[in-house]
Amino acid sequence: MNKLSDELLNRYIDGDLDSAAQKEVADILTDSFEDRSRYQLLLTVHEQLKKTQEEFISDTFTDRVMKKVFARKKAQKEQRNFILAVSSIFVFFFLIIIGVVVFTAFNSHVESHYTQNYTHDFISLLKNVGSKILLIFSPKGISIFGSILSLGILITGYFFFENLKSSRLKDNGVH
Amino acid sequence: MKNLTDLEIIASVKRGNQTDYAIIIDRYKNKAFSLVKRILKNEMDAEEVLQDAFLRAFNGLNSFKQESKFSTWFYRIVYNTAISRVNSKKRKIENETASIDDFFNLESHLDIRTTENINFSSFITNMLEKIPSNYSALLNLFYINGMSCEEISEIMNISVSNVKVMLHRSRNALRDYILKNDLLKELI
Repeated sequence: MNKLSDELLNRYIDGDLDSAAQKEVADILTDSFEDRSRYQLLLTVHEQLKKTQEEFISDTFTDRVMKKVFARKKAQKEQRNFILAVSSIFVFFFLIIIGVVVFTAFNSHVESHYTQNYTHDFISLLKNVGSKILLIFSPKGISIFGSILSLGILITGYFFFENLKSSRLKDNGVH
Repeated sequence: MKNLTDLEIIASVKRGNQTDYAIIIDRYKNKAFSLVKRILKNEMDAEEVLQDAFLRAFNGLNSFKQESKFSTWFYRIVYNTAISRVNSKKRKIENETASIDDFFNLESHLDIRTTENINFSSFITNMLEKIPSNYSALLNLFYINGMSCEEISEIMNISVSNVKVMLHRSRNALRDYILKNDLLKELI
């Protein structure tokens, strides 16, 4: 009859028992032939598992992964540059619009309201600029501005996704 | 360069020396391949999944906070990538969740005697290829990768006691299979 459970034998093999329990198991193993043969086979399985060799992957594996790493890095860089270029263009156009508005407002202000009272002049200039900006958001202005912005976003989006697609294809092509 | 620790190499990669990542690949590729192959039971899929895992690890290097060893962090990525592939391919989930004892009771797919000149080593290798993925992954991590139960629990996202239970069950099942089929004399 087995005196030692499989659980105990496994923990004995792994050295998971305290010294008292370890001694107790060792004593039982000395006395009991059945337990000893179960233990010995379990130990053999454990020893053989320890001898299991790792599998070897093809020699070109590292080069293939590194090519993918570089391809992905390059694609990320290209995307970053693309986003940077597009945002610069948007910012540039935005600055032009603001510049034109301020310039127009300033010119009309100088022609009509110049009084040499700086505070008053400055406030009236700001009001003028504000009214010109509000013109952009008037029903007519907003539709023109919105159309141009949407067109810009659509064109940018198209090129951005085309760029993403081509970088993915390149990525898969390195296999 | 090859004598550097993982952390030193990673620091170098993070500084912009991307070619140093090749040292990490060379260091881990075979052990990681063994793990993935045993989970997927297919060499071609294993290579592809391992490539993906190495790329994921590279892209996620900045998120590695050194709370655990690099190897644990890396094998966790490898394990999760392999398991995702298994799930996406909708392989029989019963295989994943089935007990190893049930598996050994279905002896039809384990006809070990068909192999000529069988020895203990080839028997074990053969069994590792055939037992459920989670058990073969665990045995691989414990015996081939030399990881502790704590590290394995972190990689497989299960408790340490579950790791020990699975480890013990695997050994018991292998031993019982040998006894039941009277393979002992043939193997040794």
